[in-house]
Amino acid sequence: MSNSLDLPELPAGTTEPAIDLLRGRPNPFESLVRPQRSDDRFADLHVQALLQAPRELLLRVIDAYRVSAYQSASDLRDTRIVTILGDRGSGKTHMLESLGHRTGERSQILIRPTYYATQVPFEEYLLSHLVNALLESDHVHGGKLFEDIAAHLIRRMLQQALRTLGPTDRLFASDLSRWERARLLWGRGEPWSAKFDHLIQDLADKSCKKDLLTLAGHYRFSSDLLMRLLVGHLHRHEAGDDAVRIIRRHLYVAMARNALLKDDDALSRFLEADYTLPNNRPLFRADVVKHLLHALIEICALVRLPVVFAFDNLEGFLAPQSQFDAAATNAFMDSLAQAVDSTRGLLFLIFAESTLFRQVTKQTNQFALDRIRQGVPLHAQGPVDLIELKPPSCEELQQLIRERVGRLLKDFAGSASLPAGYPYTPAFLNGLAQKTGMGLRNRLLLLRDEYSRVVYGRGIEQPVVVEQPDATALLERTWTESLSAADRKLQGALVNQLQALHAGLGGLLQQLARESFEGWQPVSVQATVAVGDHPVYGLVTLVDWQKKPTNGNAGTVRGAIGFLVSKGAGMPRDLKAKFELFRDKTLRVDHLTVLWPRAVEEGDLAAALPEATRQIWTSSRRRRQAVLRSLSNDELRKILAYAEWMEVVRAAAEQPIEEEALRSFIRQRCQAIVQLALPPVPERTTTDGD
Amino acid sequence: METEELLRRERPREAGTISPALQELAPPAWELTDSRGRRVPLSSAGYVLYFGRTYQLRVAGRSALGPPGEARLIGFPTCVAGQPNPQTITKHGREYRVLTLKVHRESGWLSIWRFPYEILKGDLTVECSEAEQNPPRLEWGFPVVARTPWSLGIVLLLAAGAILGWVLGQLESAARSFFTHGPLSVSNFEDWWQTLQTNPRFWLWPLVIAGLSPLIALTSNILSLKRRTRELELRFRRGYSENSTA
Repeated sequence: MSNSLDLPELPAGTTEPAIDLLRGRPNPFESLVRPQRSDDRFADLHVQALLQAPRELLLRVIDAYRVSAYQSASDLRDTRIVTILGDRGSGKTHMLESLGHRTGERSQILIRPTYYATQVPFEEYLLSHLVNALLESDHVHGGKLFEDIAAHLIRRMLQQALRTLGPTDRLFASDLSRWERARLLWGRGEPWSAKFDHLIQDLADKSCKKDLLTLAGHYRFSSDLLMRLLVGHLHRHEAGDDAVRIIRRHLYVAMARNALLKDDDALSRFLEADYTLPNNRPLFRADVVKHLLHALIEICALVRLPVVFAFDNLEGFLAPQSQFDAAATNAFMDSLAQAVDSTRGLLFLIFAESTLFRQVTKQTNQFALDRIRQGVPLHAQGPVDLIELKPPSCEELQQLIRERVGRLLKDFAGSASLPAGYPYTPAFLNGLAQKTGMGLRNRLLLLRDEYSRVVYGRGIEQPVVVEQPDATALLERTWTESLSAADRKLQGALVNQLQALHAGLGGLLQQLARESFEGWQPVSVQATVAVGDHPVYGLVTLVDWQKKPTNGNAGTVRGAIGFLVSKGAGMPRDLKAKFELFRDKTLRVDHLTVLWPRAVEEGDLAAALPEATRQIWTSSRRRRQAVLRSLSNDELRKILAYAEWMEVVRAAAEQPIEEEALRSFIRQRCQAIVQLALPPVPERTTTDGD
Repeated sequence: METEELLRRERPREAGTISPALQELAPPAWELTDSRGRRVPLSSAGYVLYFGRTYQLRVAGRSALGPPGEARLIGFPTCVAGQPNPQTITKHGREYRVLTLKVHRESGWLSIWRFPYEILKGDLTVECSEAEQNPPRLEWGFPVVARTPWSLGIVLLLAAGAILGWVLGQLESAARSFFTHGPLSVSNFEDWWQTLQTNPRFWLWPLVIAGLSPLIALTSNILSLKRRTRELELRFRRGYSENSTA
């Protein structure tokens, strides 16, 4: 690749109509950075040639995790870490986004965590994100990934279930009248049995695009009957009392409920289930999580979906308050390294700025570094552990200009005769090519300004130097976007968002540390802390509150905040799991605040609890140390939106936003939430609870 | 003391392997035909076999294009006897392993009396082995019910009933004559015989018995088949319980 361009001069008089056309179109270089989350304009802005080599290498790495034939856990690739390094504005986020927009049949589960929970076992953290990724609406392909996987695997399992059904079983599974039953004593069962054969054929036919229920309806099979046959098949073939089989059975039943009965909460209920071994042998939290995670990775492997965790907000994780947190860095890198040893089939991608990553590696111990450098071995290439994004070459830039301007000129008859690099002059492009140290974003800035000058005839505005840019507009815009994203998440089961809720609440309180609310000040916050044995419900946020000094003494109390998000049969277990925090003496918690998402706030909250849950509430030994508070939908969406919003704000801001402005913005919008989290004064405890 | 190798139990399936519920554990394509290649009728009590006839169990290979594996009967009711040396036939371009089965009645002193009512039932269990497949051995079973074909049975029962009815009618006349004319003697045998033959309603008993005997046999058959159907249905409901979907 060369760094200079040999371009012909523009032929005079031939370009005016093209310029006139371009003047009526938007500047194709206006959008300088990709938004943190995908939008509909990706295809308009993406240029295949840009960063093609590193992207193709990354895709090869991901495809190495696609299992062509899965027989056992040993077919899964070892978990590995690949780091993608680049300067700020070098196209990391765009590259990540392009993975989700892969063309052709190949795709992957791309999980992009927006928060990091240091106090939660890493496998639980991974599980929670994987579940959310499976249940979130896919913005590229549409629908939920879990529904697609369930439909695919249940189709396959149903085929097996029907094929193993005995000949007379097929008759008993048919909806027979008395007369038909009488006739079948003599024989003539073949037509009934043949119906099953036809359904099996259609299920096996990969070209048959009809959905499962349509097929079943076509042959007059009810979804309840198919569900029954499938569960019977599962109990016969996936028999056993060990944890793996119990969890697998639950998962497959959840998938069957989703695919056949259109039960959207099936996966959530699977995660909420209490897993007990025969003779009441305990199944520990870590074991349950390990098996749940493996079961989910396995179903992804069965449909050839690599599971990719992409951490593209390392700054947000490791420098949450704009200060590099060495402890968080160590914990994060150690957790990744542990996951390399203890899991299979996962690929971790770390998208990091070169300077930050150097800082991170300095803080990282040898144990973790060894695992980070293991890499993913590729055919004829060897292990890949690092992919560097370099500034674009001249050819790549030329391709970028050709594609973006070409899209605007596609209706222009003489577009073929326009010179390469149009509407830029060769002199400008040669000058740009000489700037070897300049990153992609800055080059795009120059292209934008030059385009504006050449096409619109505008002069290049000199940036006005201000001490601090007004960030309110950015904060406001991103806040509204994040609230909308939270609304979408709230349409699913809330229990899947539990970790995200704690991360949001914790982050929010951390940001407001040293602010005073009714005399209380949050001095230390642990956003997500695992308590008790339940892998889903057992989460709280721990906050150390300091009372404004009176008589010279400043009192400190430690409060735990938990969300009561489960509904139905899971609710008592959910509440019980929160009270289990008092059993852990090392936590030294003084009181528990339970936030119950509820539309109506009036009346006695405890009395409004369902019977079984109320019993847990009233009979708890630590009842006097607990308070139940109602959480409105608006507050809930704000808490859920917070973590993602912070990530977006930090990535979108050209310059770091002043902490004071950020705090003021958060305080203005989230004051009510902080008040809900405040330590209960004794009077409030008795009033709210009894 | 002499030491011995410990006989370890068969290694269980590893927990990490793919769920058997998703694996190809269904039997290969198979069909049960009579000696002329016609499919055996399927009833709710099982495949219907007739005593005295020969049947073929045709088992294809597990892969659609591959040759059939070894097949053998590993479980069968007493009325079914498998013939040794399975053959291989080709039908519609696909090879099948053919197991020949012979169905017979239970032998015994009372078998002649039981023949119209005799219904034998059980499960045929087949094992198919193909070394290159995973798993290499597969087992499956299906219920069969062996009985006399209705057509032949009805004809036989009508004939036997008519004869029995006639004999009964004659015995009734003989008894009546005995009480009217006294014991039978050589001199009055001819008169007595003529009286028996000229009975105006001599057809009544043959007709009644001829009609009743297939009816009784049919009822007995239906009850027996219903009982077997109930057994099989219960087995199905146990395996595929309605409550298990909750």
